[in-house]
Amino acid sequence: MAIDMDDEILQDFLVEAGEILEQLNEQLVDLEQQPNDYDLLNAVFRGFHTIKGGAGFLNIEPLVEVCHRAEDVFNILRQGQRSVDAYLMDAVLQVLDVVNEMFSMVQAGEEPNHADDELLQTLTSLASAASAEEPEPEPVQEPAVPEPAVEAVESSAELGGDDEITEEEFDALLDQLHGPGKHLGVPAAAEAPEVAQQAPAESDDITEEEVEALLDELHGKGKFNKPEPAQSAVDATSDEITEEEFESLLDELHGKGKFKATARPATAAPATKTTPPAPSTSSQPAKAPAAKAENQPAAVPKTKAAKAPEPARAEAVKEAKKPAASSGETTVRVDTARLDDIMNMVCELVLVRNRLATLKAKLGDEEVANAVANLDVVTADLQNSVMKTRMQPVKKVFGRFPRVIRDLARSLKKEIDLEMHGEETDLDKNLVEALSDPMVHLVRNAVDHGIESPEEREMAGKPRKGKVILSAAQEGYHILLSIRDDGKGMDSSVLRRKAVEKGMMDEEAAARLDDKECYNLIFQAGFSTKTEISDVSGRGVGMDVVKTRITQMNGSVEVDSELGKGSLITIKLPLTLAILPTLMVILGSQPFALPLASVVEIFNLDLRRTNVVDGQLTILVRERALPLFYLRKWLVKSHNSTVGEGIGHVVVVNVGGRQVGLVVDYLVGQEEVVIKPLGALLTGLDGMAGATITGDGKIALILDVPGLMRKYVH
Amino acid sequence: MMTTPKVRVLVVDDSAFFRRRISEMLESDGSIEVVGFAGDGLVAQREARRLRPDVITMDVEMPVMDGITAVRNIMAEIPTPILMFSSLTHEGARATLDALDAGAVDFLPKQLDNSSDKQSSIQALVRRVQALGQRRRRSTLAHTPPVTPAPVRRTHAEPRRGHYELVIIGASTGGPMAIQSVLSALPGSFPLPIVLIVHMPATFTPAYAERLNGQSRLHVKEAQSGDQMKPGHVYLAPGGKQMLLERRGASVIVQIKESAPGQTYKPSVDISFG
Repeated sequence: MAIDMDDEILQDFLVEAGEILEQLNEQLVDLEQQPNDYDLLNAVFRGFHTIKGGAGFLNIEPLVEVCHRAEDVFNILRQGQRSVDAYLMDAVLQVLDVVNEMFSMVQAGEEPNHADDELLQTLTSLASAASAEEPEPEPVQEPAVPEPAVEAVESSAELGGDDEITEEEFDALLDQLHGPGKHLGVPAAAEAPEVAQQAPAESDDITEEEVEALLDELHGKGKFNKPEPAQSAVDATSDEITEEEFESLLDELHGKGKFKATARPATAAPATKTTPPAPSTSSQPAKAPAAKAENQPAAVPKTKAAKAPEPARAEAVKEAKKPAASSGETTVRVDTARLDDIMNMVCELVLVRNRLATLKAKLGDEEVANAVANLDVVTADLQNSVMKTRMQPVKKVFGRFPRVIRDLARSLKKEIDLEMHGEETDLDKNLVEALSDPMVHLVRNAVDHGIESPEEREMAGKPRKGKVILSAAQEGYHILLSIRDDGKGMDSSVLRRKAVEKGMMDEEAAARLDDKECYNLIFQAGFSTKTEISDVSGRGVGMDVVKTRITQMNGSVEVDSELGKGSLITIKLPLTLAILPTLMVILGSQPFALPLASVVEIFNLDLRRTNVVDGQLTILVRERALPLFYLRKWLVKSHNSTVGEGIGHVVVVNVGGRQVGLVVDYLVGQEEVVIKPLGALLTGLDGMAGATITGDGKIALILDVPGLMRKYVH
Repeated sequence: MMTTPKVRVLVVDDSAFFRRRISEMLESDGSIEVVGFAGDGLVAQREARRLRPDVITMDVEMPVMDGITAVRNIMAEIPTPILMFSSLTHEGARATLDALDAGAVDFLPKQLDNSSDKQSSIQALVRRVQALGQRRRRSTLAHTPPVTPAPVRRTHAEPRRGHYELVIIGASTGGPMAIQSVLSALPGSFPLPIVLIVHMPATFTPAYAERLNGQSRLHVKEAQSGDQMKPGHVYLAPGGKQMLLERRGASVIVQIKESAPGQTYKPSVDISFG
């Protein structure tokens, strides 16, 4: 059977199943921590149940089969007829991988293959109560477990009078010997969750609310205080306005009690597309049917109606919102390409706005100034709203980590707790996707290199369980992500030695590095302190790739560490890829844009404070010597090396954890610029992140500071 | 010309996918209007209170509050005909019977698929909802008592030669609960064998027999081929098959047959009666 990808029903299914799979990923890992959590068991059961139902509706037989068996297993579990153990978890996680795989196949329009018989049989046996008798003859698995305890096991197996034991029984025996949970059975397939996370990326739902907010922005800001979507624990992806809320909204608009049935067709009806108004009886209050925006135009009249007055109603809506938990009906699917188009157009608009803002200053006409000021506000809001439609919670990236950590901990025999904060922080969809791989690498590193084995930890006087903390937070126009572990930390002297051994610098230079600079050596290409290569990390390619990727996103990454206490990796990213806050500077007569994210401070150049140390011009700032470079010398062709020496401003920027002073001729100011890629001929040019059109119509190059340093300093 | 008002339905399911599918099916028929949705039992309760629908379709497995609790609460507060959707498993059967106990009127197997059967399952759904909706409208009572099936009794003052005495009860919608109350009222010394033919899917009848057995002083079992009728025993016709009784000398033996194609009701009381 070919799968019809245009089918609305299929798309519906994919959206819902994708969300459930994401949740399952987390829930299953949680379950291992809290094996007796009844609600959690129920939730997992429902997850498989719902996927099975949808797949059944669409006749996706293999998916139904495997989900059905998983459902059975969880039914037994939630009735307390069996308890969660490591063996069961491995099997169930394997199921999740298989389901994810099938899901991606369906998503790609292919008919999924049947799950492997062995897995299905394992599930069938797990789906019976944990009693002694086997429900049906089972193929005997080879108990290939290299454990010293085998003797004991054998003897007890012999006692049973049966020389064939299934893996399951074997496991149970081992568990008895070791205490449940300690026995590591078949290592779970570690790679699979990647697939799952990519799955729902094809199309994004934007909620009605967002569309509405967007439209509101077009009509002027401040008139409508959009309530922040209340985060519900269960479903975070779509918010629904229930009839009740809509009603209370309308009430607010018209004043309580004034809103009569006659008003309904004029205001509410055009806004709603789904159900015609319910026949209202005398006892019922006037009501408007659940609003559903099928597309933007449909939402317009409603937005207008809802646009006006009191700030108080934001609260009313918020309150009414709390009980609403269900999902689905009010979202529209929009192709991400279309969102990109909109974003592009907004970017163009930003450029025009910048241009007008420059003209305004020249004209000095008050009316023009007012109009431009207005345009400025509206453009900024529009830009924000469009950005919001592209936002996804960092949860999309974080969601996979419980599983990653769990699998790593099992294969490395470490004990690790994962804590996550700020998962609801929103980030541009493109960034979320681009961030995924680097983050996984960093987390793996933290577990592999950072966290010690339980024995080592105990000897060091730490709790057996290591801790990895992931957090995300928004800070102005940036997102800060951090990965903190309480492992063994990094030894700066080892790092220094390594750097010298690898020929990256001479001993003297290495000795001059401060500790923080040492730590950041790990981001250099070819630097890996792990002498043996493990399959988890340690190939020596990871960290510099991570850094490159993050730099490509106009972000920065830094590491700090304390020997014996742990390490902290911080990633700073812009909220969006398309628009960049910059500091405009002039070199010669040419404008250049420095990403504001890397700018630390600005001051006037004072030659009395400069010195030449070891052939390098430095400047003393608050008793710290910073290397100083004349950007003009690097970037302006016709520069005369002596003219202008000692005149200008110093922009202190942060490059890979250390600060560097750049001398520029003039400072223009802060400007939000739209990043335009350089033409094909210029791609791969070190030090240039792109180009943009400035407010006065000139073209400015956007500088990539780390790239510049690589090119001109090292 | 007066058009009859549409049957107003509240659809309760935790899956948005199924909410949409069910509502599409219901609204494919012009006489039904889906007036609201709920994704869990608690919302269902609130929406039922607010919308006063004619019929509610209810899923069992839901977060926050499950379908059975929701049925119980809704029936206590605003009695409404509730149609349960249940999965065709043993577990599903038990849950469905619980829901019927809690006050749901009827159930349909939640086996909506896209296949050739689709049309007929849509029809089945639409017909049930219409029937429930109309019944509610006709009746001025908020809650219609379940239809009490008329037990078909062939009693004679004295058992005559060649006659065998037994009680047969046939039932469909509303029947399971009615039978439950009939059986639980009968004494353990009831002098005749009882045969039950209730329109139920195959996975449901074992659970139903088990349940009746627990609630009645009589011995209730799902009938098997070769069972010999005994007084004080109750034989439930298994779902998906047809049950026939055969006279062998002084006793009566149960025979279970595969249902012939075209027989919509399995088991069917008509067939058992010949």
